[in-house]
Amino acid sequence: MAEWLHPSLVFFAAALVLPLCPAVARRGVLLATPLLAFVLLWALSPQASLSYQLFGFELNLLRVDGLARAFGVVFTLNALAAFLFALTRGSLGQHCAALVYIGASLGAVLAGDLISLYLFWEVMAVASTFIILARRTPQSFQAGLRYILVHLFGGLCLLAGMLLHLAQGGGVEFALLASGGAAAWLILLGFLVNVAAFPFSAWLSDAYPQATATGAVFLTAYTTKTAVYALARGFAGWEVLIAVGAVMALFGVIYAVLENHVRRMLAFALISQNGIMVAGVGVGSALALNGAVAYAMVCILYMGLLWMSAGAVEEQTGRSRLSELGGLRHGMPWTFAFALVGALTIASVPGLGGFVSKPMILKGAAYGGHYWGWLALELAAAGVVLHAALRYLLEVFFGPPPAKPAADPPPTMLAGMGLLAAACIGLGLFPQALYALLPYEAEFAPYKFEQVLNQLQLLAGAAVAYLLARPWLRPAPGQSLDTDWVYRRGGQAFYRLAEGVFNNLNAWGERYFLRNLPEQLTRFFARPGVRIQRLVWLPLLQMRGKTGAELEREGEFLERRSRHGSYPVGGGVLLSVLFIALMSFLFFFF
Amino acid sequence: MSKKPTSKSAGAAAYSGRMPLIVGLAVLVVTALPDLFLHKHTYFHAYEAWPGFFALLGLGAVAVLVGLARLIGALVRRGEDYYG
Repeated sequence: MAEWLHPSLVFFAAALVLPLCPAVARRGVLLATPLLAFVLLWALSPQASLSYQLFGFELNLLRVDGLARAFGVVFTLNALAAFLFALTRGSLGQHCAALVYIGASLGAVLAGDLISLYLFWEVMAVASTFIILARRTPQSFQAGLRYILVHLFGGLCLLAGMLLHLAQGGGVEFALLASGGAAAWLILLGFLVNVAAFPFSAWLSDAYPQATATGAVFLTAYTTKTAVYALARGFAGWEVLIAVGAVMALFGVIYAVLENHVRRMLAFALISQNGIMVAGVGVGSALALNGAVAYAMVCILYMGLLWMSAGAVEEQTGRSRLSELGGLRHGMPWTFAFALVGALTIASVPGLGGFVSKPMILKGAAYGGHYWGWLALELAAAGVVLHAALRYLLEVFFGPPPAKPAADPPPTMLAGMGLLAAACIGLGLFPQALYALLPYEAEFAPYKFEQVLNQLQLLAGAAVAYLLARPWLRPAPGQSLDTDWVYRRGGQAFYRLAEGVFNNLNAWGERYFLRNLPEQLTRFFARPGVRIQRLVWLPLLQMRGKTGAELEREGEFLERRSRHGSYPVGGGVLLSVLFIALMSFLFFFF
Repeated sequence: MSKKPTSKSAGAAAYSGRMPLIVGLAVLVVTALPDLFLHKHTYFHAYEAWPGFFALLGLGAVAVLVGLARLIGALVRRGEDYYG
């Protein structure tokens, strides 16, 4: 296969061609693009490379090792399901943005050097912003602006770290960063913003639920998982990531159980699951890294499925809050069935994709001796019943049937969900297909009796606890303050401060420079002679003890004299003589 | 356990928490029973080999998380139009 035919190129070309196609052909293009990219990627040999020169560096757009290939495969296949889901409801603009976005994330995963990675990273940020804006509501516009600002901050951290790394002679290749210098920490910060690590996680729960039902499906798969890839590539074994991941995993659960908005609850669930992967990367053993990669792949599938089902519910009912939903399993049986598969997969129920991947991370953490990390991950694994696994199903699909009946979405949307559900089940039943794609050598057998038993016990115990606590966890209207409070309230405060300072300065400037000063100058230059005399002569008289009435008389005298031009001759002559004397002095002595 | 008012329909019973609770308890008991006859492996401490340890872990985990959520919820919950 020709190496110049980079898989990303297919997506970029499709984004250019799509607006020119007739409406019927667009659907064909959208479905053919991911398939073609998948075939191209599959055909690339591990030795493939695509070099180019930029800024005097030898850069490489293609590095198809095990890690890159695993992410690339799931990126392209998930794109097929997502475009199938979005086929009829997505706008042209959203489709084009999604194509560029997926192409860029594929490019970032396949890039062999830091500069190419950075370039694709920024294209991703911009394209994903347009997916958020495609909702075309004031809320999505504002959330989109906040989103791009956070991602530009993350991108700048990455750029600064990268430049520092290059300046220190670190080399342009993107590989494991060993030292803990400022360069590596800045790059790490850039990646952590994109993986939605607490406290840089608020952009995700803020922006993703504001995208359309179809657009959000793209968003959930690529930005955070590209960052998981980047962490696995550059920061495997950095133990600080175990703590970061544990905090993310528990923060996500706690905020999800407080949340009332369906897709925002799933956003917190996504943060929680990303935390499990980040912790796996932090453990850094072959088993844990394989687990992080495998779980990232499965997470893309079940998260897409859950977001699709939630989006379908939102589209079909016009409601997005748990407190307003319920009883939909009768009206939307297919959506319910697919949501059930997604929920059981995220819960890692044996027989589904989650069970064959997540335990690798937990086992890796346990073998590595990270007790607290392991315990936090077990807590998060039990905590899934508090969001996507049980709470979502019970609040949305169970309970008394809704007053206004709802129906399943159109067949293409169901087909998209069906594809992902089949993948979740297929990987659970045939985990070898998943393990064949994993980059490192590590033994793991998921279906051991004890392991199945432990997992079922954990979930049953968690479910019982949740059901007992459920009366205290009823969804209630409202929102939870997150770390975006800092820049949302901070931004408002800064705006008010700037408004106070600069508008006052502006008003003062207008008053003095545009009104008072010209007025005074006009008055002065209307009769400059008398003005100068008044300015010089009257204070002198005042110093000599003249008072009010006398000064006024003197002023009137000056006015009259200047009006009539009746100055005594002697004064003019004296001034002339003095002037000539001064000029002669200057002429003779200089 | 559940004291919620129940109606005749199965849907309402499910919503009230009775059915899932019974299923959950049944799964819990069924999966905890074999622990009595198994030699279980441990990672860190001997108590991981207790019969039903993972069921207790799940129960305890959710209890802790719900407690934390209630605590944090009291601090951070605001109205829908908080940011105007």
